[in-house]
Amino acid sequence: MSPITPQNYLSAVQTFIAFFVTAQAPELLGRDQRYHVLTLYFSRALERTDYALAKYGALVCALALVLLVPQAVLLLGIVFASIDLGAGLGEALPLVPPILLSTIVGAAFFSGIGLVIAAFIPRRAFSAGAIVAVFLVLSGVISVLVVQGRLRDPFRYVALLDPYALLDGLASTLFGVVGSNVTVTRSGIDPGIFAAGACVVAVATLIVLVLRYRRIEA
Amino acid sequence: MSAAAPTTTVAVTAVAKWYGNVVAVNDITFGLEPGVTGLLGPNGAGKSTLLHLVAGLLRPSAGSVTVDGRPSFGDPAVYRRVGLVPEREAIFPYLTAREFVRLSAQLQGLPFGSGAVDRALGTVELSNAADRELATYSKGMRQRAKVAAALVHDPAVLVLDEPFNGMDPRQRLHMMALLRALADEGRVILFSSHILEEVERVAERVLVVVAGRLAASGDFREIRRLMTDRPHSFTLRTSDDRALAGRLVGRPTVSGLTFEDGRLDVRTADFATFTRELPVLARDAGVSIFELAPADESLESVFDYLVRQ
Amino acid sequence: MSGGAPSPGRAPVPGWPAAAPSSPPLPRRPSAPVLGASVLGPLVNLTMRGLLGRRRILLVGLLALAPVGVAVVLVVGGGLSTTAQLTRQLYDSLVMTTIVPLVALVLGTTAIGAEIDDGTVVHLLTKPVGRGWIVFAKMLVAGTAGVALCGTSVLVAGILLVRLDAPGLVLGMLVGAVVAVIAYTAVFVTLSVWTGRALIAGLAYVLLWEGFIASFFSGTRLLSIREYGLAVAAGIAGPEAGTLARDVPMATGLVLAAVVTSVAFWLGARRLARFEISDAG
Repeated sequence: MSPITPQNYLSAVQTFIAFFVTAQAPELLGRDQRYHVLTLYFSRALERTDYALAKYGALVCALALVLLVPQAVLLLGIVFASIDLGAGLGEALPLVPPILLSTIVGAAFFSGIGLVIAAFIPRRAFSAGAIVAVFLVLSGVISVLVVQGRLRDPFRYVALLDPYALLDGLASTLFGVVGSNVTVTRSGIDPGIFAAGACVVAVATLIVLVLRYRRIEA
Repeated sequence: MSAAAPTTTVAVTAVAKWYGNVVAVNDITFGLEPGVTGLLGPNGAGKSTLLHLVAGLLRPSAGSVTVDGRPSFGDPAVYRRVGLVPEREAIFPYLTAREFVRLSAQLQGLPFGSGAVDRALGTVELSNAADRELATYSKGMRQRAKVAAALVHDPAVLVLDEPFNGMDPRQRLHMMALLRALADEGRVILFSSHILEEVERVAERVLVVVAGRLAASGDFREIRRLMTDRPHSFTLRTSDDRALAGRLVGRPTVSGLTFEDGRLDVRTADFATFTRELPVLARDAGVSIFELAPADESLESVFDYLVRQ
Repeated sequence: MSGGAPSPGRAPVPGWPAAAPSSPPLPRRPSAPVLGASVLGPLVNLTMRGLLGRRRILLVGLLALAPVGVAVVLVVGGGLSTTAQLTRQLYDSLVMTTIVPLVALVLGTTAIGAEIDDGTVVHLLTKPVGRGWIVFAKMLVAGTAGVALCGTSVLVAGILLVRLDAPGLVLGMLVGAVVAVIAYTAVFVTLSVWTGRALIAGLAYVLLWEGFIASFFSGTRLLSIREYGLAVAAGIAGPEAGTLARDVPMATGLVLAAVVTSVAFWLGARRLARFEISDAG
């Protein structure tokens, strides 16, 4: 197995990202719904939109933070492992923007998917099951379909539904390297499209979340 | 009562229960005999914990809880003789009342067709509504369903946690009559409440629990006397505090007077006489009373007082 | 009870006439034994209704049938003749990695977890019923439901993909999935008795342990239920196992799965026997 570098870090820990969102999203949203605390929130000077934005922002920040610390350690390793400080910094600093961007967007779209599912299923056990099912089943099924299925043209774009592929495409586009995810490499679609897909999902899920909480009965 | 056959007894000996740093029950000892015993105390006093200890759902951190000499915790056989009506509204919403009581009967090993289920439902007056799902029941009906399930195996010991919660007056009266009837058959009944009136109508014996300790125990009349014969405090706002105070100071019923900013605090040992005398004194002094409020009528202050005895 | 005749031995239930003030006290009954197999029926019935009687079972069913859906898509729309190799790939990466553990997770943690969570377990524990039988009933229902769902799914998907060309492979996949489901549900039911966070713990096991660690360090292969299932599948498929073949022999996988299931049961029964319920739930 190749060593973990800042470029392939996110793809290496993709399972952990899925696990984090699965564990946290139901807690964030499910409790308030099940125990009817939403009434308390919305009877205050708190906009429903604010509630949704706050939950989204919280999960994205938490996940991004958890992911950024190891990457910072990796960067430090690069700096200290090089011959002199200047060269080390020269190597590490250009990586900082891609790391920040890929981590934040990656955290955003994963969190968004998890939160949208949790917003519709109040019961924590089932929303957790649904979230992890979405992540694992989508990625598992689509990777098999893309790699083995030899799909014709319009169907090839089903690869864009694979969350792990979106993550890998995002990272590889921002770092300018070739990604490791089979769905990305074998689908014949440019990784940049995957990166764009990741951004779209991040924004779209936020919009759905806000709409859901605008309409929800409290 | 004849002493022909031995009765079921429950013995709680120096029992304590703590969770980490929080002590829920602290060195409580009592014994239970056939009849109704009421557990009285404010919320958070440890009544529920004590009931769960008696019902074998908690392990005592110290001391022992025994039913007929055998520890109540960790011995499923004890449930042949014990029935518990828990306070939490946890029920199986998809079962009907009849199915719920029948489940209880089956898990007690009662033979099919013994009629125990119908009798239990009849006792709590749920026979008509027995085939509706528990999810459709009101709180009082669910309570009765739980009681039926706890009675179906004819237990010698019945433990009820806040059984009158959520019941309307008619249901409450019916439940009280039921408990008395069960006790008269020789059962040991233990129930909890934070309302003295409920306890004193049903229970022969009252155990007052405050902050995990047994504050008082005895006949309900003794408890009532303890509670009402304590010193009372009142707060008065009048048109002329000093004039009224001057009149009050001479009265034997008044045991203390304090002037606060714009009000008069009075302590008395005999509040019945005091409340009769006060309007007369005020009228004679030409003082108008704007406000007369008891300063320590809360149940907590009552219990506080009992603990300090 | 009228007149106060003492109840003989394991008495038939006496009636409740209007209370006579002079009734003698209720006689003490001899200590009757704790109930066992005779209550299995009602327990299984109750668990089935709780687990399967609601809409949510549809979600689990949908999840379990995902392989069938994929098989249909591949056969009908993929523009490729499906091969045994493709089937093995699907089995490894989709069925055994995702579907089987997840279905087992949802079924296993809900079987007793839901009742512990909302407090209704008190109605089961305040009965003279052996704790082991309660745990056994839960595992039985969850395991059977899992076997039914996953087994059907694997069988149908397998037949769709390779038709009758590789019967050994299909049979192997079926048995492997069944073995894995049984072991998984047993472990997850026990987890639910030990902790209220059984779902997260189970997910951590499936995603982090089996998905991450065990795939890096081959020494830990023997601690992964997925490996047991795959080993059994490969063993039964024999020559048709292809890429499913493992270093772990089938017998080892089978024995270890049985050991894990039994240990899970024993641990669950022990914990339930010492279960404490305060009013806070």
